[in-house]
Amino acid sequence: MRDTEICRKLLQLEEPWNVDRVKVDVQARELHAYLVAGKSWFGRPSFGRPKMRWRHANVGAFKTFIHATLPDDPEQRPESPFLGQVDSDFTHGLAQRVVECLRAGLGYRQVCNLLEIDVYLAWQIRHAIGEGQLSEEGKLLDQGTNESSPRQIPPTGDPVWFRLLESEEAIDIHLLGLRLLLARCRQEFPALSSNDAKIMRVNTVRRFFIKHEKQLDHEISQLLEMRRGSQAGAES
Amino acid sequence: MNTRANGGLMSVAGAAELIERGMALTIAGEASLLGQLPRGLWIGGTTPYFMTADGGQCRRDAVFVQCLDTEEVSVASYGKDTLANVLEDAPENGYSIIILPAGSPVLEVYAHHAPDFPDMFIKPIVGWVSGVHLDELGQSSAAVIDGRSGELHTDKAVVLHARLPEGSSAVVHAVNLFEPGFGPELTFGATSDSLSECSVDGAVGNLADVITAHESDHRLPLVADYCGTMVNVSIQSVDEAQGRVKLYAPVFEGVRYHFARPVADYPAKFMAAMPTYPGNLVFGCNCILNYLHSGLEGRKTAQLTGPITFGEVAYQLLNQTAVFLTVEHDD
Repeated sequence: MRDTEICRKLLQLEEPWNVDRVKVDVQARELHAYLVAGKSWFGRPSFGRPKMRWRHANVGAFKTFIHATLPDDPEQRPESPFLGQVDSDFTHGLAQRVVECLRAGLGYRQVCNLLEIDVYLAWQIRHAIGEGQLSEEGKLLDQGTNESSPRQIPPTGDPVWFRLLESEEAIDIHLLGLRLLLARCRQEFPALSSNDAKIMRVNTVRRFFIKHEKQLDHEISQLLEMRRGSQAGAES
Repeated sequence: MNTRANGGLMSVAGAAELIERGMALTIAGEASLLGQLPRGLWIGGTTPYFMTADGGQCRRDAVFVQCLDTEEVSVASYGKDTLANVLEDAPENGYSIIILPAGSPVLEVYAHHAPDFPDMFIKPIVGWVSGVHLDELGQSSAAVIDGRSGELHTDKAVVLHARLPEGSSAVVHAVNLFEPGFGPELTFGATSDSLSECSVDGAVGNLADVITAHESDHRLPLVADYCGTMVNVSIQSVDEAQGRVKLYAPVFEGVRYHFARPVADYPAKFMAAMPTYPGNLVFGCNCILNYLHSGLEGRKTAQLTGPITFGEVAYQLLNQTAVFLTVEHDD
């Protein structure tokens, strides 16, 4: 049996989804599954780069990541366990596992240890459920949150976060906590060699923006302006 | 002295009355006074110095009480091995007040590692470092007290976690009048509070030599710019013979520091730096070095009252800084 077929069975993929290719990093204990909707071209891998990357529940001892592109039409986007939402960093299946653990009474630290995810990802899942973005999981975890909507705030994958952390670009910040956090992340960012470590810092800063959104109008508007500036620069 | 429900400098009997009413409190005072208080929902730390509504005072016959108007409060104590969990135990919406004893291993852990604790900067935490009367330095130990048990600790941090209702948020503020001066830029190869080597404008140097060469006033801290917030590290002692400098808090690896420029008439400048209406101010403290070097005894610092402390916490450990926390409504 081909590795893609084994992977399809392990991930319990449903039609029309198939595994296009599999990358296993034994040293990092990571499994990356690249999915396509429909058959790959005569069994050969497709060359289009998937637009989304989600952390999924582990397969055995391997941290599993799904790479895929969702249809542009929101109506056509399935809520399969092995897929996630356009702006999220996790699959519905992983969110479901987190919810099951929380319902069983485990604390965040225990959930993170059990599922081998970082606390920021667990928090994002909990936040998305509280915001009603994960309706099925939300039904399971009938509990709200006090935090505001993250709708204005760019998703984790938005390049503006890297620009914010990589540059020394001045941003006028009112909240002391954000000043200290941003200074800390900017000090650390250049020394981080792995992309995952950088994404963790992005998640931390983004989490601050989400949690304090109501107090950060001034800072969010600068962030969005920075994003518009980057987009305009890229287009010209 | 008073026994007002919003706190202030008061007698032991006045503080005991508030504890017995079930109020959540933070209390500062001499160890012998804190030891007389009944058990309850409070944490305390030792210091005989206070910024009161009437100005800076050293009092060995009174305690300073800050009353926390919150929905739900819990008290916890942490040793150096459990301190990293402090913010994971904090509520999602609320704040934490921490008191750490000066010179203790638990303070060292906080000073060096707090910026890396889970949830740091995401959840608000403020607090202070307890100390002793300056005449008793080296003779008695700084302590904290867990009001639930009445036990004094010299090796633990005590923390009060307060939950806020939906629609309210806690905001941490720091007032620091020091700004970087015109001396060289200093960076350090490791996070430490005991230093010899450093980088001076990019060249290898020795911090004690730099201080001597620039005839720097030891009362002026090293200052770093954290995205617009000035963070101080104060100089404890300079051993010119050994070429070592001891600091009250660590400098962090890779952060750029300068010696601060002097601040003339600290109380007047402090009054100008404080917001006219700071909001619902629930906690405040100011540094013993500001009290001593800026002549705060008998002088007022706007609406900011509280203990005079041996280190301040606004998320991370700070020096020569006033810290306060307000509770604000989202609308």
